[in-house]
Amino acid sequence: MSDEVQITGEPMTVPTMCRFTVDRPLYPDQSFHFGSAEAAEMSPLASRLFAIEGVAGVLITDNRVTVTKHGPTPWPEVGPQVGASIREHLASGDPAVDPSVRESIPPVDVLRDRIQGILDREVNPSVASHGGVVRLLDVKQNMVYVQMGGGCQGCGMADVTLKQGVEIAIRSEIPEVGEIMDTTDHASGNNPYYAPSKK
Amino acid sequence: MPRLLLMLPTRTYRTPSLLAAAARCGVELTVASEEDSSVAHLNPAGFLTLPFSTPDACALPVREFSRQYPIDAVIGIDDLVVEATAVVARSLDLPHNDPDAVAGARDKKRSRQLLAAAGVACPEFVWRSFDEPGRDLPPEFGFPAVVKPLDLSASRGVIRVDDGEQLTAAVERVEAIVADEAKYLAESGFLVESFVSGPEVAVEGLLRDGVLEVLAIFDKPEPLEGPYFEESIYLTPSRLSESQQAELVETSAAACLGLGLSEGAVHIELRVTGAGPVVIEVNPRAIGGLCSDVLKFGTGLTLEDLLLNHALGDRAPLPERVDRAAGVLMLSVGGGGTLERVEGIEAAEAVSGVERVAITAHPGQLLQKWPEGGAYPGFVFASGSTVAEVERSLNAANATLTLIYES
Repeated sequence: MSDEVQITGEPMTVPTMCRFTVDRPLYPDQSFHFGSAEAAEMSPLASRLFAIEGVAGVLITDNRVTVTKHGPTPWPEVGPQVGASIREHLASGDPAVDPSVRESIPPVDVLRDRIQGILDREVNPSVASHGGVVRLLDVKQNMVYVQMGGGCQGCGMADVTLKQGVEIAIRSEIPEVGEIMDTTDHASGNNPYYAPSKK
Repeated sequence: MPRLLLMLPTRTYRTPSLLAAAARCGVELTVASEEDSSVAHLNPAGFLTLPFSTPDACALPVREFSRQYPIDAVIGIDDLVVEATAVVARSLDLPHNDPDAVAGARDKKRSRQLLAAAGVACPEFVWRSFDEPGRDLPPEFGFPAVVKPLDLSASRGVIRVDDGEQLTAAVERVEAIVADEAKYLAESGFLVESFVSGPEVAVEGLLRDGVLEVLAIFDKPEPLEGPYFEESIYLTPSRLSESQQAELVETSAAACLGLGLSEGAVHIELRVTGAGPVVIEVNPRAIGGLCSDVLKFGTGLTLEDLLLNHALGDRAPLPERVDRAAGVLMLSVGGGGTLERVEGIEAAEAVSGVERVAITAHPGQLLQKWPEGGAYPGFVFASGSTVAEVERSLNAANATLTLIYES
């Protein structure tokens, strides 16, 4: 491998995100998401990236870094800064993520039980009033996969229920949780509580 | 971190795009809807219930809420919330449209009066009550004419008539449609206006301190000659000449000024005639349905990004729309009925240039034909190097899609 670090930037479907693939491992076989500069304090690499104006999120996965940014600065200007920060980080010899961060994540079984408890206690008795249900499908590392059913499936307010309600409840009790993914096929919902319809 | 109050009707198509834009803006979010959320107890700062249909009653609860959770910006871009949004923003001393101007724009009779008074070209019109004996007399301006309820959206209840007999039938039909709409006040009556022939276009804009910034001009290539006005394809950039587009912009700005609108999203529909543009509608909201997905700006910002940034006080120069032709097709309900399934989605997605097929109707949903109906079953998005190419892609995708209704 050449000493010169090769980095390829790849715009993603979501325009505020760009994936940077590095020609060497950054965080081998592991993944961690940082949603704020405060959360990134235990990650030397993410901290460097959050120092770039407009960076709002950093996902470090093996040899890839996915950066989320907001603000008007276009990717052609932000990208070189991201590349420089990654090169600076590699030259420093620091770990991408402090090992203590990974150790702070509860085991998957524990996460699964705690999340299921929140859904059983706090979420599902409430969404049942709309004929809905939120199911925990899986937990991988700290990634959570949920599925919405009944009145929630295809409901115009499903996203609000998930992001403003369910996610808040889970994160406030278990801050170590990473991304929460909605795997629901909303198009197949045949009895949404609020069916989207009007302008 | 600033707190954004997002005024979101429960049945809007826009929830995912607005929540995603709010997340990208990095704001604390409070979602206000007209119905209680079943999970409001999980996040007291995140939810608010407001009576959107009585806008003046929305101000007090928001001010009380804001004492505990200060609100820095308010946005509402759907028909059902634009009046309440103006009232709430004014009560918080945030940039806002004059609520009376918004109400005037939404009331088709009042908006016609204001536009005419401002010298903006719009159809001749006469207002009539459903109760008056002469409700179906031929209008002075003759036929063809259009019968139009005052307060329905998506061309619901809008019917072209070419003679007195059709006018009588249309008035009866419109009366039945509004009677079916719980919130429509029958005493509001209806308009009979002159039918303006010619290509229809839509101007999508953002008003900033009273100045109209045009974000896109859409051509509607399918002839909208009636008798009903279910829409089909929107294409941008417009194929009209530069001078015609300049006239559209000038007329749109004059219309906004005439109505007293000054802040936020605006969607203006006009007909292009030999005598210049004629304003059909000025809506103080963003383009409807999922159609905003067709617009991307700068490095990929969405329309919702621009509107949220505007609400948050950003007055930097607006980015240009990405330099690529784009279009959206609103799927026709066809014969209407109870939807069982939609066939051909994969084939439609495989059509060159098609970016996405979004079916928004759900199995079991009753889809009504226009003029009774007002909901599209889905949307197809395409892009290409020219609008002709985009139009071909949309039509090819449309040809593969079939709505299957329960028998």
